[in-house]
Amino acid sequence: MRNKYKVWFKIPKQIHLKMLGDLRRSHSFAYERVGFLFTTSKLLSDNTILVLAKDYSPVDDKNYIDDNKVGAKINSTAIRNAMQRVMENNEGCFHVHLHNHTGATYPSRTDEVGLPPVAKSFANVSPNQASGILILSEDSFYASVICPNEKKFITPELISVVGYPLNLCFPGAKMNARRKSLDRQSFLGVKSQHVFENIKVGIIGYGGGGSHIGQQLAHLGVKNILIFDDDKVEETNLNRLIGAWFSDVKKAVLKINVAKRIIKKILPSVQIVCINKRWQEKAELLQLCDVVFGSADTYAERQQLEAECRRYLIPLIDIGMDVHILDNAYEMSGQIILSMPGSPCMKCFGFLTDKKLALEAAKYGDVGGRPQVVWANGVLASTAVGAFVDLATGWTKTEDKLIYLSYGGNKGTLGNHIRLEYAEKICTHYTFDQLGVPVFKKF
Amino acid sequence: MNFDENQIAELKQITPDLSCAQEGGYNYILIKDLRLPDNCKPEVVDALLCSTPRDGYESRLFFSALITGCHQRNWNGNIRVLEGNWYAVSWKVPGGLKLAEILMVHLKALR
Repeated sequence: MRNKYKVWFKIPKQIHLKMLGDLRRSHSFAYERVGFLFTTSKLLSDNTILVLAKDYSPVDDKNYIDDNKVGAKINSTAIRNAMQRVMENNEGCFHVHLHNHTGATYPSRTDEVGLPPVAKSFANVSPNQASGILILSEDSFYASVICPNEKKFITPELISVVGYPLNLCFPGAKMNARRKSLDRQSFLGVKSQHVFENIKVGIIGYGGGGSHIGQQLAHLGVKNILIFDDDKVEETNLNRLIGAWFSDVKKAVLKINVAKRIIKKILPSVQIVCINKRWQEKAELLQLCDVVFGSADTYAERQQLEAECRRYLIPLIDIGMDVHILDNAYEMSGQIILSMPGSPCMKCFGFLTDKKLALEAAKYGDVGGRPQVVWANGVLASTAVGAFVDLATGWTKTEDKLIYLSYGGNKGTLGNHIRLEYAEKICTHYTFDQLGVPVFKKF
Repeated sequence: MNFDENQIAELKQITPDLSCAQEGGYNYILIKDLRLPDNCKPEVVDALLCSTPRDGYESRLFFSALITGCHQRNWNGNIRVLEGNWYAVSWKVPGGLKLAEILMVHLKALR
């Protein structure tokens, strides 16, 4: 029988490392360690339940019971403490332990007998949150989840560790045969096709930047694409909107239909969802994405998009360009920023500042069309797609990379922005306790 | 989130259902069922008060709906914050005021 719900489980890399660090420690008599992962969950309109990990708490050494029949036995105090927190904060809770090997992992017979009752206790005290069991291996996961107000355990469709690179695990998704069209990108790794077939990518704004990105995602084989744009093709778009035709102007074709037309021609099996609205009007759809590309026109839009992405543990790749007058000459510049949850945000990078937001707000009604050109949009979008590919596949083997690239359009240069050196290393603007549905504390 | 208790108590005298949350480094006070000045439609809305500088304003008051029936104003703050879509008038309120004063001066925009 099909499950009523699908579950997507996301864990920030910082919390994943904290769990591994704790669970790898030896104990004076217990064979292994256990801990509790506190989560928040949200039911989305398509019956997907997003489970977001907010915090991890180890079990105190004194709360282990010496019993050589099992790997680890903990006392009722440890469980009661976790239950107390779950009740007080309206959180979910997962019993976590580590199987000390690499590759896929599954519960042992002892786990199958001993752990479900613990998870059910959490579900009983916090029935409107998802709770369950999480077993880590050194590089993979097993999870079993009791959905809100349900009794049955189900396996998530996605378990991901959100960091650079992403660690995406799609339990149950079948690995398709390698497509010949992707032969030339096989160096991206044996799992790259599988990742591209299952990852969900959002594009906010299908203009000069977004249209390059959409086309390139289709060439890569990305099969789940969500696009938001509330505009139709106008004559002034034809200098840069990839895939738009002269006739589209006359017919007032929606930009999302240009997207659909070109992406489907390249990748017929694509699942593309196009929304002819601002993303704010259908934000739940955005919350389903694993990565989002943003090419907003304004700083205020960027700020809102970043806040939404951070709340749902979604890496945001932002691009933008501008042309200024400097010493009576035009100066073209641009940026590519990866806003990774748990890492510096656009404020930490010094890109979004109160001064810029204030100036922009003061110019309201006097903004006009900003300069945009196809080649600069192409450089920025292609670089952003390159960042996405490494983020999703990890093909360069780079860990914890921060991306804030500066584009100099006059000289054709692209390099790390100087602000990268001075960015706050720990983001204080978006913390993990703000994940998921906002919690308002009563006065 | 450190709000002055006395100021919160004073604000509660005007509009009792208050709670707070943080996003993006800003602290917000959610005001449930805020009664608006006469002739405003709707008469009652939820509002979000950011009492610290934001977007070039010393403070901002966001409403859960566009308000009609009052003076024509420049509604320049159509934003998404804390999972809600909010609307704000471009309205300058001096800095250094107490929370209740900030709220009352913002509401003047709707008189």
